[in-house]
Amino acid sequence: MKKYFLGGLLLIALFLVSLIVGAVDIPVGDVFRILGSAVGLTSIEDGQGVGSYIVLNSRLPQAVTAMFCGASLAVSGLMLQTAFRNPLAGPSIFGINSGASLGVALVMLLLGGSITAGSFSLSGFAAILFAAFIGAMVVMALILFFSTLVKNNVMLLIIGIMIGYLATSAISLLNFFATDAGVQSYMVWGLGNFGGVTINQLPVFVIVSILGLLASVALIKPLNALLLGEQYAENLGINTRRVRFYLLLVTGILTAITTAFCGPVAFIGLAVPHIARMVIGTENHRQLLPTTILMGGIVALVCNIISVLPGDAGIIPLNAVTPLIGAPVIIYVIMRR
Amino acid sequence: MRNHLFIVVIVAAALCSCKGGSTLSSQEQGDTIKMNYAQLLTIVRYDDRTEVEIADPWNKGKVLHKYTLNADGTIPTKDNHRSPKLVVGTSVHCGLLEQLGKVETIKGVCDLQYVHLPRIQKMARDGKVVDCGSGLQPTVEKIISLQPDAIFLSPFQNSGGYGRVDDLGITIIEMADYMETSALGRAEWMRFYGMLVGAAEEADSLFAEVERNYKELCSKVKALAPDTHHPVLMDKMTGSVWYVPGGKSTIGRMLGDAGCDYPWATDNHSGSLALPFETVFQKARNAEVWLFRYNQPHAITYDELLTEKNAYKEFSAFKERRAYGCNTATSTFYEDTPFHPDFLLRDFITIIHPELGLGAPKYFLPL
Repeated sequence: MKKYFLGGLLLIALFLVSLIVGAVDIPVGDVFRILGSAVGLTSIEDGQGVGSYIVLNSRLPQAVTAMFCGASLAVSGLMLQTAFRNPLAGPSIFGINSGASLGVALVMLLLGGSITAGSFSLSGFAAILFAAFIGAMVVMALILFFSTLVKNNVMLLIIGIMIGYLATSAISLLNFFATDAGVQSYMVWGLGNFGGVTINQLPVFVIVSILGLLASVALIKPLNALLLGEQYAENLGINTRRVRFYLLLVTGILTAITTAFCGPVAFIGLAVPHIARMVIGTENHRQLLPTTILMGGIVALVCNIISVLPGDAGIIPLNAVTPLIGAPVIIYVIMRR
Repeated sequence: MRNHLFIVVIVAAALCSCKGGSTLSSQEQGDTIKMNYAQLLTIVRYDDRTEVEIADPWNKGKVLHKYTLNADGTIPTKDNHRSPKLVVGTSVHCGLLEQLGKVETIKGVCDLQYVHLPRIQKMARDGKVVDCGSGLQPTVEKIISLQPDAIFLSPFQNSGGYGRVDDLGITIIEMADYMETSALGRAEWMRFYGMLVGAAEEADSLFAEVERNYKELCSKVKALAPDTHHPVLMDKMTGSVWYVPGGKSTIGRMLGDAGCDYPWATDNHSGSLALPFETVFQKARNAEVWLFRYNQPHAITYDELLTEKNAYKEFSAFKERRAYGCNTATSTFYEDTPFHPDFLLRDFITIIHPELGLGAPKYFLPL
């Protein structure tokens, strides 16, 4: 319990640091005054309008997005690692990320950044969001379809990886024939970004993420049963195929929503479950799953803070930061086995 | 001992004298063609040949490429036909050759689908021009079958050369003009390209016209009241990054020439700056004009801008409806402006100083 309390405190502290640190220097006192003014406790002076906009419309949604994105990807990674009894499984392994990437590549590199079908038209971030989500959901539907045909987990994993390769092949082709501007836009999207979600879009992102996280909590019992092996789980009366279906559905939706809003964020889903195991030292999902959610939020906030550290000089792309935390953990896991 | 010392002094003096003179030729005296703005080019004419050196823009003091050309500066050809046969890697240079009246020298192009030049597209349909694939990785077999005298390709820093194209024995003209830091410096490369295809006079007079136009536009701006301020915001976000031209970039300098107050004018970068939203918002939210480039099939609208980034609505230029977009997919911005910086400068001045009555902008159009 003490660990949860400390973890919660750390999460809040990092959340506040995310609001204080950024490219523009805003004094800590001003940040708190701005936050206070947002809830009607304090008032701000006219000169603080820029700071107020930056804190409330840029840093706040970015920090909330980072927190939920980290939690969603981490819990997806944990569920897949348990379901497939593979410590190196992660949300990207089933090609769901690649599906989202292919959707975005089609829009950015082939359709010129917009989707038009009859009277239906989307452009800009909305088009990217739509394409990524549809791409991810198509791949997820494929995986779910194969999961009803293939009983063996390893075979299903291989099918997932193959689907990912197919998507990557199509992306390479689109990239090769694209304009410089298109390739650059796609490359930047592929670097991940917690800052793409606006304050208006935030409720959708947060609600879907919370629903996915709650669904994952509901799967704790069968996840624990799966730890004992599929046959034991079936002896305990658990329909492993159905559980696997639900697990894939929940991870699919969580991965699709995070990738659609934040781009393909690397390593968090793979590494954070291992960090959570190291912290609490148990495989019991009653403790491990909430810890993973908490640690996912913490790690993503740390990455978010590091990515804005250069201040006025620019930003470090998110996917250049996440492996700094993820890769050492993976190496540690391999060395320990 | 004294004799030995004398010999040493004589030898040393001889060695020193060999080091002096032209960097291109140690012995002969050539006639250097003066470049007024282009800093990477050195062209020296000798009686029997012309030598050209392109300085390495990424390694100061080193040479990127050295060419020995015919006496008149044209590319040596295999069978003495008058005009060389060329494969050209970018639409910009295709456009220049067309302006110089040498479009028939083009036998192959790279990235044909992005060459927005009707003449080249027609030549391709008629089978007179072949698409040689990507400019980054041209299709070697097509190049071999064309047997060109030279290939015009853009050099990239540390790209590891041009792969198998390097081994074909065909002269590669490295189009490093885009690494010049001044607009007129880049445009002056047309004199080199013109010389290569036997259109030196045409290129010299075209450049003289560009230079004259550019300077006239600058002097018109200088004649205006010096104490007025016109802050300008450039470009828009790509994902999480707002790429803005550096203070010493071609566009950055040109904005200064157009009498704009560019917020990054004091910056020393010649390329782009990758900035987070916060920085741009703080520095340029009050800019009176917003100029940006975009690439999509149709013209962008204010509503579409908001779907990309809702925060754009907080910029003064957005609120005042003073945003101007240049659609690089449908305009000839990339084809024209490298060798016609006067066109782009005119666009900037037209927008910033409508009181000069220069007409409507050509590339950056109001939304």
